[in-house]
Amino acid sequence: MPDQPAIATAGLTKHYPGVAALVDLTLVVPAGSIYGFLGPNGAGKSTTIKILAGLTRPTSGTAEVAGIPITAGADYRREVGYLAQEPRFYDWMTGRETLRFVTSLYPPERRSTDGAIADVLTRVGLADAADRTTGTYSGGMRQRLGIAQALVGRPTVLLLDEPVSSLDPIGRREVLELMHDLKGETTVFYSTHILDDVERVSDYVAILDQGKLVRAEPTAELLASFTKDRLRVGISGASDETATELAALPGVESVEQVEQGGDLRLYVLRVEPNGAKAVQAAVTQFAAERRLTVTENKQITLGLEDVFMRLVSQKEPAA
Amino acid sequence: MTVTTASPSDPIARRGGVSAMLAGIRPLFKKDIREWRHGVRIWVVLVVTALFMCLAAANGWIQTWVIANVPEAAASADKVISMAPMDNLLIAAGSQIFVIAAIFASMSLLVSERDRGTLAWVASKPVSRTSIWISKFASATVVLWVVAGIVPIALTGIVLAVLYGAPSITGLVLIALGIGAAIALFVAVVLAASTLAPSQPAVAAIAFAVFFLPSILGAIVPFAIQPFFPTSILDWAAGLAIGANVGFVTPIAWLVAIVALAAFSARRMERLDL
Repeated sequence: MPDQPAIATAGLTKHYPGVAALVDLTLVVPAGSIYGFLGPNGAGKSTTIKILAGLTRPTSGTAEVAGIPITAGADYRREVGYLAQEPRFYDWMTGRETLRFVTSLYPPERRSTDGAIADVLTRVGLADAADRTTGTYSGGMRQRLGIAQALVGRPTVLLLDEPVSSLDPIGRREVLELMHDLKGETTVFYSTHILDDVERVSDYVAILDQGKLVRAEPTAELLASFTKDRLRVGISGASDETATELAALPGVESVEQVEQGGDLRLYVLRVEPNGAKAVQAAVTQFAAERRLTVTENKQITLGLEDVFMRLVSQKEPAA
Repeated sequence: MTVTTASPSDPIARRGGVSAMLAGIRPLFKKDIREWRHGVRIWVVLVVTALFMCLAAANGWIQTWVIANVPEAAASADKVISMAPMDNLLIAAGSQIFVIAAIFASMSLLVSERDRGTLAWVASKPVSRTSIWISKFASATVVLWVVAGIVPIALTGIVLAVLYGAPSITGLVLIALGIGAAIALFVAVVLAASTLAPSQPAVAAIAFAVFFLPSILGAIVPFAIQPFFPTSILDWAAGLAIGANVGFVTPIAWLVAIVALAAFSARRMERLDL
């Protein structure tokens, strides 16, 4: 079924004694996407992933992966590959033995051959260390083995709980590149509090705060919702009346002077939907007519970090 | 929006298949047996249990030798020492050192896996949690029966043959089976306690409480209740070995206890948040 979402949750809720870890989470994760699950510490990200991995029972609500309900037990879990925040394996097994053990837990039609296991080990950069016991692995190697063991069952969905948070910059880049390579092959649903990573690799982003979903949409649209329809305009030689005159231009909804230094003033213009380009032209013409110098006339771009801070800290609605 | 209460164990029950309940049992059992072979735990259990049982079996011969060779000891000797192989076999088995060894050797099986995170890792795979528990129970029982039961009994048999004459093979086999049954019971108790208690000391405390409870209750209650305890399975096997009329109450109690502990544990395992 091509339109079948990879993950669908409805009203997913988890209460621990005295704590509502997750409240009424309803989420649809499109198949084949890389979906970043963002939130500050304690937001409920790990709880959500543990519920989706079948490790924790929700207090209420439903969840499905590829149409199979979480209540289907082992049948559900064969569709899911899970990587814990700090993956631990049997330290007396080698990396290769770990993958052989994992694949033996799957039904015959899902098992990987030794050749396929070798390919996965090569893919995650562990081919040379495949026959070392995992007790000798570094944190980054364990993380990569964690991704490998999640892949050997050929899951519909990969659930990665903070896959890069404990890695050094090189390890982090390697894991992010690996996640990016998986696009189209499987659906990757991962939690993180590192905003740059989400912006770099995620097609979609959901923001969770205090157990509640704040926003969930394509990353580009989320960023655009905060940046489109706003212009940052710098005018040299502007006067106190300039703001009022700018507000009178066609397509401008409001003007706010945000900075002043000497005769240079900076304004943020909120414009009508899809009217940014026309307003930019009008501003240029306005300045030319008054012999003013335009130092800046561009759409405001916010990074995900700014958007996240606005959503989580200030609860500011999108434009 | 319709909100339904999720209960992950229900569909497994609805499927009703033993295969769903035992999903993954074979590779899990193989892994658990391999895990026992790593590390020194089984060697410690083997050496301690065998040494203790052989010394207990040789105790009668040692005491007799001391009385015969040390005049002061002969003067203070006030009891009859049996030199019959079966009597000394029962003394060796009666120490129940293998139960203590089984409790200490198995109390970390589930708890440490839960603490390390490997239990969550395995449980995230398409296996049933009942399989995880049964695999741990079966592998621990088999391994501990061999290293704390069969091998020490075989060595004890050699000691008995050298010091007192050849013991009854039937007696040795029955005692070995009784030890195996006692080990199975206490492994089940330890693993069931591990689904409840958060730490290894707490698990050990529960297991030792079960171990000592029959003695305490037996001293309080004014009639013979020992046969009703599943923990009396070794006494039952010993009675069988010496040809006593032992009935079937104890093995039935043992079987009921094992099944009840397994059912309780399976239920608890399904409800654990990992």
